[in-house]
Amino acid sequence: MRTLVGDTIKKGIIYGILGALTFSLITPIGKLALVDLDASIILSLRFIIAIILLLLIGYIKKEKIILSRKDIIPLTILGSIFTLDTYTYWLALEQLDIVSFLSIFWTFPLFILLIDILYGKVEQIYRSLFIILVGFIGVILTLI
Amino acid sequence: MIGYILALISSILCAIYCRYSETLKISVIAKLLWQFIIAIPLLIILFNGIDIQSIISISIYGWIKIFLLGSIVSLGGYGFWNLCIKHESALKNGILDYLEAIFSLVISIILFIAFPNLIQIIGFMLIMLSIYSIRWIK
Repeated sequence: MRTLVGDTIKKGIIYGILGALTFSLITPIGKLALVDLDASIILSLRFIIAIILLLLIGYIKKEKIILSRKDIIPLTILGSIFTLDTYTYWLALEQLDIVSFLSIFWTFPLFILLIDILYGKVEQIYRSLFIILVGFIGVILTLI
Repeated sequence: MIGYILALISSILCAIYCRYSETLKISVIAKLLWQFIIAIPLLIILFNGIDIQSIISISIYGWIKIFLLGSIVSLGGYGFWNLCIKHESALKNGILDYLEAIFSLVISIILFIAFPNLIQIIGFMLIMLSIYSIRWIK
């Protein structure tokens, strides 16, 4: 049982690092792409390519991609949050320098912590608030 | 100023996305596929349409950048990220994401030869330190 849990966490960490590595390319490549392309074109074509590749992977892996009715509404909400997030992300990337953008955007784990505090999922509230405060002092320093 | 506010909104939305995504127990491929399908028409509306002529005139170099964003970033990033959530919680995943910020900063510095100044580095270190500290209170 302990091995199973350990393996799951290990897998999670490996996937997390791989995700971090691949996703970290979005800002530099995105900034390069914005030099000669419009954000609307970049994003639309990027998602069309991703859909084609996902359909291919789904077909190869024989994974079920048809949704049940109960999943449609939550996924539509998730998709809408994702779209607004992507939209504001690219608009901000167009307007800010890389360091300022990165320092503001990557505070999102602090916002996850804040959501957890609001939902009463965190016991050490003062420590958590102190951590959030330190993070935002860091943001202010990068923007001075 | 608008750029800073937009980046902050994007960060908050990303946090909401992380927390909400964790609650949906659907296959990673189905989840990604659905959100990309929803994103395309919504983005076209938000950007007030797309200039088709511009698509025709995209250079090979432009297509390579779009393909990299579509394949490595969209699939690699979101795919691995969602797989990570299956094994870890969104918060722990968010903590792992501090690596993402560091990778992103390093790659950007190399690509743009844009070195941050000392205060910016200290500020960035404080952000990373606070994000990493989250692991110790959970």
